[in-house]
Amino acid sequence: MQDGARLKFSFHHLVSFFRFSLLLALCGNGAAAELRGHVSSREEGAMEGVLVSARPAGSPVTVTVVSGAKGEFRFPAGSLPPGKYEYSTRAVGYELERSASAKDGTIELTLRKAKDLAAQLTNTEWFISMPGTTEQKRPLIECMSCHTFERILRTKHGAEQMFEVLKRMTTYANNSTLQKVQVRKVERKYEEQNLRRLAAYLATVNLSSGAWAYPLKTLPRPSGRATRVLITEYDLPRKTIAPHDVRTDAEGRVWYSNFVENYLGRLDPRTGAHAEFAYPVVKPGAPLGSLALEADKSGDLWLAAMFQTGLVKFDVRKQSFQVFRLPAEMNNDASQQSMVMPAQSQVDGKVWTNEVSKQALMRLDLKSGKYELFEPFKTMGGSHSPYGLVADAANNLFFMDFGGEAIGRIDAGTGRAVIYPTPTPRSRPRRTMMDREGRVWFAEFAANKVAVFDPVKETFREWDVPTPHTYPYDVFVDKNGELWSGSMSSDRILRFDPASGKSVEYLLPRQTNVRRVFVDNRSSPVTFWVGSNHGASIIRLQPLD
Amino acid sequence: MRGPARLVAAALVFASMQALAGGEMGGADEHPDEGLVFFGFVKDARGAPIAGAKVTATMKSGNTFIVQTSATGLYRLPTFTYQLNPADVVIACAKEGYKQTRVIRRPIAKANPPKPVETECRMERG
Repeated sequence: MQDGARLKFSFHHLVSFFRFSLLLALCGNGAAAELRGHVSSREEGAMEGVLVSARPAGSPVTVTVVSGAKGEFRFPAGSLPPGKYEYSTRAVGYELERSASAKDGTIELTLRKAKDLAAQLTNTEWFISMPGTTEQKRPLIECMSCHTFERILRTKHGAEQMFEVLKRMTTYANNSTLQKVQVRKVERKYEEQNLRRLAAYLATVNLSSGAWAYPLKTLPRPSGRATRVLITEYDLPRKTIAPHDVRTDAEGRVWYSNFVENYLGRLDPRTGAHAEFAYPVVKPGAPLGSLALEADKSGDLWLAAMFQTGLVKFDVRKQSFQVFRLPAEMNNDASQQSMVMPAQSQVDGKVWTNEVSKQALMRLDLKSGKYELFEPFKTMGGSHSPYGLVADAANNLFFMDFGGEAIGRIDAGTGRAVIYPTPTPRSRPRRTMMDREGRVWFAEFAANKVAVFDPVKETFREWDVPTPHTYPYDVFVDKNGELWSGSMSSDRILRFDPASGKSVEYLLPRQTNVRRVFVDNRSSPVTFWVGSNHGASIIRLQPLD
Repeated sequence: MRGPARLVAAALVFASMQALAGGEMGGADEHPDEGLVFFGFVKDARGAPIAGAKVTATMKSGNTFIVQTSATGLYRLPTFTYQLNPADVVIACAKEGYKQTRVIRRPIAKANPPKPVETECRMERG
């Protein structure tokens, strides 16, 4: 079925576009000299690892650098347009007291102790602070898909009230944000005793007794190499936009899937131009939005339509959509396609996807429009859920069992599956990518690890991520063989060299719910991109080494 | 089932009961992972354990599960449903420098729910 794309380009977009373009144009005129400054506090004196953000008045773009060992910071020439800036900082335990310009043009920032430390904590810091066992805390990793833990821990609910809240949560779609809550057509399955156990635990760590009966622990600020980075955050024009997967094209434009609305988004970071392309609602009453965004060999883009069901192809040149609907006999109220893998569809004319409601995989034949069903877990007990997908050069599929502890391979010719359990039990592999050697890299969400699988040797290698309770969502291996990862929990971007074992974690300027991560290999050093799923922004991270 | 093997099986079942899995809120992460367990050892001709051997379990459907043995030669497959007939699962083992000689399925005592299925794989150099 052919559907024309509807380009959304509201007045708001236009205002943002012109304002932003003007700023960038000024910036490009060479008027933007290097901006230097210094950050300190009464308690520490000069402070290393403070994220200093500058935002030109009225701009949707915020540029961030990190202070060095002597509290010094420097915005490189050209990174900011000339003019006046609003400054903000991120240094857990502190808040910005004042900013002052010296006669020589440098900026002096003074921090003071934060009045409300709890408001600054990442989910990871809540995990570390809360008393209780890992088993008690682990169910919370589902909550952070939609909101932060602060929201839970500031409640005063007792166990019974909290149980009612948790029951209500089971009625919401996983593609919900605080800005756009979506109700599922079919409630999630849950076991009452498990929800009651979780509710009872949460009632011991929230404010039901009047105060948190435990110290709030914080992670260390960035230091050394983690301070050598430039971060640019592009605010999107509506707060409801929930960028999930982000990728750049050959022209450097950034495309993103919107998790809660039927739009494909595009941002040109050079001009600031932002556009949204609407695709049709194919399942009225079902939650809107898409999750995975992948490209085929010709550069056209594919969306997995989540509860709208089916797959959506976007012809980039014609700017038109083609919707591949699920047939009625395969479609039910719980049907959900979260993933799509068209990268090798030129080999056999077939595109892989998943069917969450059946713990299964599907393959779309582009010629006939028909879907085949593959159920590798049919004879298996426990919980299974094929999630991240990647295809090899022959369009054989590798899939992550996000519900369990394995990755799998489906042979494109025979349709037979091979399941490889990960060395770490209950690892819950999530998103994945294939490197140039055909190795499969992936995030072990529940195990707090990243891993690689060698399909030739049929062996795994796993690494712990440096910060506990990170729960990595995705991985991307760049042209240098370095691995990049992020999560919904820590607000940190991991850069890891598997060869040396060395890693660095870059702190992001704001609370950032990280999903798919992407690296543009065309620059040196490489350029990292990610969407802020709850924060309606696109983030560019440029390491300075 | 011999005494030590019975202990191993009990430990495996206990571990799986304690384990976490899933993708649905407040439920699957705490679901006891109950079901039919396949486990066993890969050993050489003298009965010494072989670490890092590849164990392949092939289902009637043609789907396979591939795991590696631990330092003690132990392997364990993911948990299956009780509806699966153990006779429909064929176990084989492989490692470079070795060839498989025997596969020994321990007699399965009738029980409800079914007990873990132990299958030993023997290999020799060559």
